Amino acid sequence: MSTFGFYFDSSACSGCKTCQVACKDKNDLQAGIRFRRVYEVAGANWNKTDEGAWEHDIVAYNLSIACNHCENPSCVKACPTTAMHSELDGIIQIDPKKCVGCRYCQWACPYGSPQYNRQKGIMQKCDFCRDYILDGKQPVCVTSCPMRALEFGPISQLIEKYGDNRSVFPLPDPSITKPALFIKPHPGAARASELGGSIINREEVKDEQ
Amino acid sequence: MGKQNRRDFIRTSAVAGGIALSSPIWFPESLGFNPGQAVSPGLAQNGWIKVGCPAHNCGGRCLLKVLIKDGIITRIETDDRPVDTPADPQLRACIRGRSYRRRQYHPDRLKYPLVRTGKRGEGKFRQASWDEALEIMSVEMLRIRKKYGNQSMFVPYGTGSYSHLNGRWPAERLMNLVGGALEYYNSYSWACISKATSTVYGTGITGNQRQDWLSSKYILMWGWNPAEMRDGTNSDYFIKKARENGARVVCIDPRMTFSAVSLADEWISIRPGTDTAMMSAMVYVMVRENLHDSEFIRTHCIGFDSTQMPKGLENEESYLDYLLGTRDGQPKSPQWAAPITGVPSDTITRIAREYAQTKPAMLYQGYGMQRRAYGEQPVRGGCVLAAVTGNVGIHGGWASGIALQPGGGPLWSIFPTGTNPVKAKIPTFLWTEAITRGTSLSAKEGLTGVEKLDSNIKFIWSVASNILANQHGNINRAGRILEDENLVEYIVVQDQFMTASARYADLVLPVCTHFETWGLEDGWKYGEEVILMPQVVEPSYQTKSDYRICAELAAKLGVYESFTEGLDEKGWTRRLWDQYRETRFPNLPPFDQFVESNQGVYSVPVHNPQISLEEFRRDPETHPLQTPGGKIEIFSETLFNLGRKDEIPAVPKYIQEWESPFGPEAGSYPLQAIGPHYMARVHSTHDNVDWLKEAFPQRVFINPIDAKSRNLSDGERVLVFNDRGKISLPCRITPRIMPGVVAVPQGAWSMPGPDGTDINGNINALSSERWTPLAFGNAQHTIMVAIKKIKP
Amino acid sequence: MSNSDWPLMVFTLSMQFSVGVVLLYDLFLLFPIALKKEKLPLRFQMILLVALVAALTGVVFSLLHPGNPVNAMKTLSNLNNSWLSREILFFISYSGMLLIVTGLQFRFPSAVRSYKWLLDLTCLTGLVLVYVMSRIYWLPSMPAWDSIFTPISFYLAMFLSGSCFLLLFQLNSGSWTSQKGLAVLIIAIPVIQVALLPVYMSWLEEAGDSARQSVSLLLNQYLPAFYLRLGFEILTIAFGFWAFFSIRSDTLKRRNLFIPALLAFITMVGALVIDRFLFYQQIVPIGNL
Repeated sequence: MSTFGFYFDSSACSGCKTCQVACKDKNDLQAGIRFRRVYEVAGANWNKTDEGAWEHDIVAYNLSIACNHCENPSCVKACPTTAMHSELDGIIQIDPKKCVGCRYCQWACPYGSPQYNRQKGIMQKCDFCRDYILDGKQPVCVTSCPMRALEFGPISQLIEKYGDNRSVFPLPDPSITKPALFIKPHPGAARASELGGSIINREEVKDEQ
Repeated sequence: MGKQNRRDFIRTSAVAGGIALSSPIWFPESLGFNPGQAVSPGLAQNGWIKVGCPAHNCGGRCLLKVLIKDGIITRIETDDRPVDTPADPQLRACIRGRSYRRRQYHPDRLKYPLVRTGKRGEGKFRQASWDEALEIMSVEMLRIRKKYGNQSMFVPYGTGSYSHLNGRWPAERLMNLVGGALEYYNSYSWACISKATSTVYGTGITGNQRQDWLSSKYILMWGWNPAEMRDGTNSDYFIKKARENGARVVCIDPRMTFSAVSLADEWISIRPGTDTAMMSAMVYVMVRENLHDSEFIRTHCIGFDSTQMPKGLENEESYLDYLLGTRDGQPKSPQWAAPITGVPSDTITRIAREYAQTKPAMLYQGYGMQRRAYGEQPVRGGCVLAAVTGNVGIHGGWASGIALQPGGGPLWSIFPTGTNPVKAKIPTFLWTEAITRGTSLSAKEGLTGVEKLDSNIKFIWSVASNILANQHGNINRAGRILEDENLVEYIVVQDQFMTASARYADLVLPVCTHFETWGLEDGWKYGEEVILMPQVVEPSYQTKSDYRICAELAAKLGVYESFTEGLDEKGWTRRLWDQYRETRFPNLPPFDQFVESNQGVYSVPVHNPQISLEEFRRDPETHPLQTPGGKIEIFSETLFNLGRKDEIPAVPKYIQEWESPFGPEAGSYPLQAIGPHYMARVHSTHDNVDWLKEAFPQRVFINPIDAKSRNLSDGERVLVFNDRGKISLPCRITPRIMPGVVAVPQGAWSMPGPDGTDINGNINALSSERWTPLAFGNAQHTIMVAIKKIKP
Repeated sequence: MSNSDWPLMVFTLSMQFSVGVVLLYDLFLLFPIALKKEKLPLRFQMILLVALVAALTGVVFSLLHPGNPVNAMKTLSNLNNSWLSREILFFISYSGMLLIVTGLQFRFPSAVRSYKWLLDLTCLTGLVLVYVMSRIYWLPSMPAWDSIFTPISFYLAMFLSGSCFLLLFQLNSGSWTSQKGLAVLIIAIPVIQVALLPVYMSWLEEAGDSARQSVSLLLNQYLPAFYLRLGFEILTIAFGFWAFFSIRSDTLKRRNLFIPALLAFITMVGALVIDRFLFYQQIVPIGNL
């Protein structure tokens, strides 16, 4: 049972990826491994008008996703070695000494969070900056955000402050894993599905290992 | 070692550039950095140190906290001052600041001086000692000075280092001590906007302090993209706060930028180079619907209609004449503007009403639209829109134009460069002309200070600059000019990496990074702060600071004492600090105390933001503007008197660009290409940083409609070309750019392949060297291109 | 399909083949023999050996998959939750039992009756193994796998590969009826597989965006492979019929069976390999993140 969560204001996220790199710096991650990824969602119809101008109904927004430290973590269930485990405080961590590198957690996670480190042959992922939390500090992604669009805190507190919305297109149904991720959707997000919106920066978020 | 040929350079750069993402990670230890090496006394051994960010011409001025362990930077975080309010916000660094370790410990850092061995531009060098390198340089300088005079020597515009005493300033100081050098004026960034704003307001100080944005109720971000270009640390955050206060934000831009996505309620796509058409149509709507502030126009402006024309010019075309088509028979209606701008007429009408009727309102114009063919026009047009709606000199308003800050504002660099004995100045962008035909330049090409130059440019000392072969217009032409040893006889490049420009050097001098020397910075365009940049690690390899290099060269030239005044880098930083204490920031703590405190930044909270042109607004008679008529010049008598009304009209007009989708060139090259700032770089700096390339790879962005008609699939490598050059790079198909326009982010490092095609996607292989009529500014964004598949 | 999926493809196919061979051997060949108290024909001993080799191939390839096989022993640590842990348990049990029973058969070929219970147990373990294996893929995060179609497809692959192999192997020694039975399977299973395809695809169409994208992958990017697989299936059916009608009670004419049985085996391998390739290739994670 997770105690902490992220709040993400998608309406304010510019997609600058400072969070992604702040995280990479803290965790010494080589290119290709991203504990936090920024997905660019967009959809639109473009039409030329009779007077020769262009009309569009575009929707575009960003989703910054790390590990959601789900309350019902499918990765922990999937892991054959128990390397992927939930700490008492609900933070889900990988024990590198146990991980066999089977990548099954990667299949099981509906958020693409576990990342495979080819050089080490094991999985890695966001640990909420557990060392920082234990030190009374915030995760490094949260304090990096130039738009102040990320927050971190106890789940109950985040729900009280922002409500209990854990989904936005195209994230999976939150009932699958109960992610500790609370989202303020971009105003356009409601139309994204009907516009045939999709993730358009796939090469910037895919697991390349 | 010691020789690096061009092919090796390209190969290593391509790998380092993230094409091979599985390449092994490099962290300092793997590069032979020796943890625990001797560290000079006074340098912090271990722990978190605060350092200013960046060291380049970024619009942001932020604060880093770097963790030092045994002489190596092992982690980078940012400003974490406990209080984070709009009055005094945290200066949070962006992705570029956070990835500095990958630049600091990049294996391609220049390590020792290099002397050219092959043909110029071939990229073949040998290793040299510092003594030999500076000896060669001083001999060449003296030889060329003797033969051609000081006007033949040139330190070009360059912004790769920006910490007051790193960068081109010490080189300028040294040149000024040895007889001076040909000088330049204006910049690659702001040539038109700085020139044209003054033609309307008589000043460039037309902005309010940013905290005032929170008072605005309507914000038009016109080609302005603070989130992506980092136009001031926290500018995007202030807009967010303004929205929380109820402001509606509309973004007008060919691209749905980061700012459009995260800051705006609406994005209006506009064809590049047609902004003045939409601006004109907006005023047309206001006039037709009587939404303009006619009282303010009557009391504060000149030339709006025939009743307020300057004396003697009563019969000339007023702004209203232009709008209504009195002379040319063409009313500048939204229906006229729609096919030009690509913006539906209904939208133009609606935005005109919103902007005119919501008070107070800001029209913030970006700088991209003025790096275009007639870049002066949209600047004047934006200022006129602000004036006719009466948004000048009020809280929550914005006078538009370059919008420098009231109350002095930041100064970029206060390092004393001295007085240049050479009085001749050329426009920044015309250095290639000064090489090829300097002695024939005149005022017609913007030459000032002298009638004629004594000599063409014969010696170039390029410090922290990648202008020569990367950032200039038409770099293929620039490269041909630089290659010719009969033109420029000696080229010195001082930098941290083997840039495209450094490849053309006869001598390459390796410079340390800002983490390896002392410096300081203030708030770029905005902000009330001073940020210290203490040295935190030893210079890597044999690198030295720009200041140190200049000082050692000064010794060779016999001016060491007058150059250094007995100060080292830290000494100069202290002196500049003291200068701030004596002028802008009287409460600034003493330097040594501040260094000791590891506070990093000194900032003055802004609770009552200052407003530009406030006194003029209140009483235009007592506080007239510095324009010829003392008022806002919608009609500029000065421009009228130039007698070039087709290119420099007295009122802002839409003029079809010299390369345009409406011109014959569109037959072969149907797409407009723009080169926006990219999150992955500050101009060309950072292009070799893998974390940034991974996050934002170099791509040509194209609308699905244009991609479909060319049968392109997302991620496919394509050829972008015109008569001036060819580049190849993968495409990104995105609905976030309007049809007919493609974007190739500027600043990618030029990497010409065997057939001359730039394989790294540098847009300047396609851009032009032609300059704007009034400001002599770069018009690099005005280009037409074609795109085709590489694989059939 | 990422590179690490290739070993999994070989692993799943060879394990299913192994179990199929052992199971059908037990049912079709050994059972009648045991009933009649006959001595095991020497040739039949090879069948279990082939199944064992297939299982050991599975072992090798399963070890190629993880990035850090040093920790392989730790994979049994999460039997309570992880289907992968369980799979490994059953995989080890099955392979171990198969090794023993194969050894017994070589050592005591005439005493089949006394250890047939072990072979039966091996079969049962194998059946469970195939089910557990399918549960690994039966994931909410992967809509294309997230259904009963996954175990069905695994079991069908098991039966088809096993029957094709056995028919080919017992050309001269199998009973007339068991051959007929195997040929019926060789016809029936591809028919079921082909018939299930539209059912599966239309189910996917209704199972959300990512599932729909899986269909689109199959019908666009992988359409050639998809058709190729279909072709192989139809050929297998055809060769199954050919084989069926070539089966005679007259032992002398059994050689006529060789060609259709061999062809059926080859097309079966083609069909299953492509099928499994597409199985890994078609996945689009939920949300497509």
